[in-house]
Amino acid sequence: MYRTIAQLEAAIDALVNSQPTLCTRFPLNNSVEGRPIFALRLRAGGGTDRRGILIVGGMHARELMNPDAIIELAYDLVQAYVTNTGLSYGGALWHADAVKTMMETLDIWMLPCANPDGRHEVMRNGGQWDWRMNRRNNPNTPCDGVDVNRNCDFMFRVTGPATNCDPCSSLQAFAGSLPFSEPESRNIQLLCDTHRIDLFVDVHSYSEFVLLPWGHAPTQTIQPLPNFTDLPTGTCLPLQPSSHQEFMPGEDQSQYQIYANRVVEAITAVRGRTYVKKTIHQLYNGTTSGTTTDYVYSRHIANAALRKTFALSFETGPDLYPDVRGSFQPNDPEPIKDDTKAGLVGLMYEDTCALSFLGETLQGGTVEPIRAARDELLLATENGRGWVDLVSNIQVELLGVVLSDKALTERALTLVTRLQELAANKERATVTADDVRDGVEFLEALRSRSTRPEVGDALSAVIEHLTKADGQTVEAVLKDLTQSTPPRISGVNQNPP
Amino acid sequence: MLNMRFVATIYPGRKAETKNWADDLNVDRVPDHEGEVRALLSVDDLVRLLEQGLEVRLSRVHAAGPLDPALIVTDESFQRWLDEKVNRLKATPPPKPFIEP
Repeated sequence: MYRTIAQLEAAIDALVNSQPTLCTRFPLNNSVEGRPIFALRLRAGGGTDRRGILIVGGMHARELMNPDAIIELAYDLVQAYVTNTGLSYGGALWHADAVKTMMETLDIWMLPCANPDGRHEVMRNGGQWDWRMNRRNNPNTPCDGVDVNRNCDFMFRVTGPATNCDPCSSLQAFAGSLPFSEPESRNIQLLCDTHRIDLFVDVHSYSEFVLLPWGHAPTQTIQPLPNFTDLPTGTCLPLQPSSHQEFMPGEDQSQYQIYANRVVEAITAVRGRTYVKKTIHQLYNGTTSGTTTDYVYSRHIANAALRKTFALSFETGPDLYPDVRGSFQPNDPEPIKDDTKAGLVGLMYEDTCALSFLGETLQGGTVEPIRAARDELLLATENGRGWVDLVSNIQVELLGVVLSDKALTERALTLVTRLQELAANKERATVTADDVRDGVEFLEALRSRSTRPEVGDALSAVIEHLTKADGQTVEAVLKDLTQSTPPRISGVNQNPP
Repeated sequence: MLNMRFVATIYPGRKAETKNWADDLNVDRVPDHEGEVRALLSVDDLVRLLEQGLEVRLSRVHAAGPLDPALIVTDESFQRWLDEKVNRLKATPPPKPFIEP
């Protein structure tokens, strides 16, 4: 069962009114037909410049499940937070401490229904169940609609199997007349321009895919140039040159795999569905241009002054071929919505970053040198990625432990400051005996307070390496780490048997 | 028939199979988990594709028109859901955060 536009709006209003300190409604550009569009922000606690995740649904009108799922997720998160009860969808479970940490360290942005006019067209008496675009009245044609997920300023009007320039084509993927001509797509740009968004996810249906950039061309990690900024756009022709493959740095590719794996694992835990990772280009085996996902990820490449935002999309729900209508609009969407909500919480969990919250949000500094060292030295190797994965699986829980104790928080801030110094000069600055002692004592304190033995096991593995760091540069310490395989710990980086 | 949407799988047929044969079909592509070229076609689309020499296999037909009203949440049902959710939330003040705003 699917909610109407009026019901979705009423649900947002009621949530904001019932928990105004946690939930804020932000008006965005109205739709083409003048309907109000709102973003919702969930955040608890203090601190500015927090990491942000932006979740978008309902870009394509006929994909009805996702706006409902996102609204329900907002309620579930707020309720779990205020009642200290944790979250569960089927077999996917997040403890109350993890929910508290996510709610208090992230800004969770939601744009549940990006294309309300389209949704209304699908539902109204006399409408069309398979309508996909917005309701733009295209001048000088009898044909309405722009595909708002082809209208972004990224390889705009470069055509392919699911993108074209003809508003009257059966494709239902008209890119529009100008980049961001549509208020519905401009809202994505607006949110990214005006708020800190580190992770973006655009939720679509169907076929159980997790989709990663790029859409206009195959993705490669070898040759940085030429890149998309060198290619012709606005041509209404296929990609030129047709052999172009778009670059993605290896460390971004690794980070994307971590995000996508987290989604896949979370969804599988619900009821066993297996989502498959692909690039957007692979979805239709050809160019898909002007998408929100590619646009959001490309922003920092097109303009080096902008923050990097990792962007991906889901295609929720199974392919019930030949029942296309049932695939887009199943009679019982509840299990699929649970999959979706779990995948999104999995992403929030992964987006939570202890170092960022301590070093950026609380100290007002930057953890960029630490991130750069991680990207360069750890994400480049399989073992290194394994260690990053191990730590990312326990950091949300440990951040909660740290933040719940003022003395521990002070010690963590001191350590982050020292780590920033070391990482900024990673080739020369050496780790001292005092650094090792302080670090080990801190991690031991965390281990003693952790309620799960498996988290303690993971910390022990980290402590073992830290004790060998005395007198070494950060570079040497991290390189040494890549020489050893991280332990596989059930319930941390290995699913329980 | 004119107001129908055919679920179709499209093959190159007599059209020479090139790498990009499916790039300019101008049909409403839908995802396919197995990577086939699937689409929702109108009668006009179907005629056009066949005239182009493509092979089109139809597997189902859906009536055009609005969403089945039975799939839309009624206002009464929505209000019950909302009341239950909101009453639970209103009754519970937020906990003390780690870091005060």
